[in-house]
Amino acid sequence: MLIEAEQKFASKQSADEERVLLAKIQQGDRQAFARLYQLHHRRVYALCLRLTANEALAQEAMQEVFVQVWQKVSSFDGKAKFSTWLHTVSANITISYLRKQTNWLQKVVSIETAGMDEQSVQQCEGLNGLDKHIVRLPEKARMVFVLFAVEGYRHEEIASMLNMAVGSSKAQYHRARTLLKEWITDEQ
Amino acid sequence: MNNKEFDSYIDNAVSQLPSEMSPGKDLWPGIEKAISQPHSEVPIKHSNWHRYSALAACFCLCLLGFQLFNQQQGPNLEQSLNNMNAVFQQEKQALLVQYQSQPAVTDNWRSQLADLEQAEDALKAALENEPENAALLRMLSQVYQQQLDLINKVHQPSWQRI
Amino acid sequence: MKLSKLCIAILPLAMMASQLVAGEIDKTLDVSKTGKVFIENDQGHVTIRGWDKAQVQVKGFIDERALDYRFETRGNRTEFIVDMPSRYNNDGNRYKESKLEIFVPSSSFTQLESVNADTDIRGLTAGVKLETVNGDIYISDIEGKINLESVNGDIDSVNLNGQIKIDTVNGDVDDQDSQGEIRFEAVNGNLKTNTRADDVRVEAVNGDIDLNLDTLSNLDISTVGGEVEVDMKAMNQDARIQVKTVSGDVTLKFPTDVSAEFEIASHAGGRIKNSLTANKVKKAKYGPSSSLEFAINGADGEVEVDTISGRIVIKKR
Repeated sequence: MLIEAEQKFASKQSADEERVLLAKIQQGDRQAFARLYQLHHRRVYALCLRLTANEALAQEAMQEVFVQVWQKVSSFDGKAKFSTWLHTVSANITISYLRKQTNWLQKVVSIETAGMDEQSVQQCEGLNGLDKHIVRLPEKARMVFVLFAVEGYRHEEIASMLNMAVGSSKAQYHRARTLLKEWITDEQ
Repeated sequence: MNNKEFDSYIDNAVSQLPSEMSPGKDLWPGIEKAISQPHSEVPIKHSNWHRYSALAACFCLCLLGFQLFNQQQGPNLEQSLNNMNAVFQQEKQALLVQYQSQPAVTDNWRSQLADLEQAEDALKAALENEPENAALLRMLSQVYQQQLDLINKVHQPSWQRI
Repeated sequence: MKLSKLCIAILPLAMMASQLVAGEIDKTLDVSKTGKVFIENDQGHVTIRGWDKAQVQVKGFIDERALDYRFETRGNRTEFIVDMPSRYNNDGNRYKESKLEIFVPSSSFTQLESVNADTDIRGLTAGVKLETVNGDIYISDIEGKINLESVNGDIDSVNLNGQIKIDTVNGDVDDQDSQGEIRFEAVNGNLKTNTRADDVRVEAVNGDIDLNLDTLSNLDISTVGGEVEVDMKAMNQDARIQVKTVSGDVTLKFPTDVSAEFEIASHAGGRIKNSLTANKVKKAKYGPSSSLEFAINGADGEVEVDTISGRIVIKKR
């Protein structure tokens, strides 16, 4: 009972702190924004890295996310949880950022961006367990897998975010699963 | 394992995934700078193209500035020249690695780069003879800039499609 | 199966900007006369003309490989974008490419991005920005800030007036009757210009450069190799001419009444030939450099030339 109450109190405290921070940020308080960054950036970075499978791009995407959050924070209406809103914004910004990086040349030479090669996976610290395999997936399959299995979006939502048909989203998820299964059973 | 086993394996593995990861370096300064711009829609200058542009501009200014300040100090100028060269080589290598799996849009860029490298060598040799010659320094910084320019232009034109 | 049917069969259904591509297009939008127009089209041919109406009209045929197009205007910004799939067969002979005629208000700023498409653009007064990889650019009668970039495509320009920048890697540039301020950047492409601009800058690696200049205030040339020929009709007061070449051959032809201070240096075995005056080239006591310094007719302007191993010739035109 006591433990439950303590946990409830702790989470209410952090919700209160967050409300105060957001109010300050909407007034332009940069220190409050720095605090918000401190609280949330690691979660945002995890999402960016899984989506982009590239440390440099993930870092840039994350910076872009927070710059846009600073601009958009007045549009957060407080109805949903802030972290949920932040995650959706992060996913969308990272997707559009990736599109800008890779779209041009693909059109000319028709290559889909592959995932991380094995050497880079070894060198990239902080990738363990399933993450090691996720970053190896080719781009579309990886993005669908991350959005569906890790972030919990539905295929209809993913189709809209990635500008593809719902059927394509399901097909890419299936592709991701097949590749992951192959790699994981190889490992065992 | 069969599909059902794999499904539960995946579910389990996903639930074990860390919800947080730390980027390799402190990214806050870049963000703070970007939001401090008076017109807050200025994007962070992050893509390599922008990065090298700033660096390339720096070559010219740095070399010139140094030349003006250090007319008498031969050895210092040589050292700063070496530093400039080291920075440039690093930037050039980073670009070449970044683009190595990307096809170029011209097929003669390597020989053009070789021509520029030859020019670089000729300028460095001439600078050994006349280490404080401002014109030579400017030519060298320009040749550095042209190399970076070339590598970028043939792999990624300055505009990107949305 | 006919290709267009195949295309439609695999078209994703959940397209956001929902205008089906049929091929033929003839659409007009009312726009601000002084706004901005952005055009994206990868393949084929695009003609852009300025007109007096507060409208943008797009007519012609859209690439049959395109998934969709977007033609919309919001505030002072109008976009016409042909969406190509992220992978498609690049063979322009097998597939019907875009062939578009676009009319824009002549006082709108116009920007175009293409990969292989050729562009023919004329009659604008608020500046343009054209970027292409392999397409050729034919551009005339444009005023304002003009920015032309190509990798392999050629650029032919006539009667440009303003702040002009032309940038190419391998393409050739032929510029006639330009005015204002002009800057050329090339790697291998050849550059030929007949210009009335009084501020001219050229940066090249190995291309051949042929400059015919009218009245000059500022000339700045920097090359690695290649051949450079400059013909100057007249020099303004306090004109400044700076030429640097690593190993190129440079011939500078001056007006007969040229008044300037000359400083020409070759740093490692280059040659200097003076057909302008009787002054002699001096060889350095130690080392491979040589130099030529003199003043002529009152030393109003400044001419500075540096080369490592190239050949410099100065003469009257």
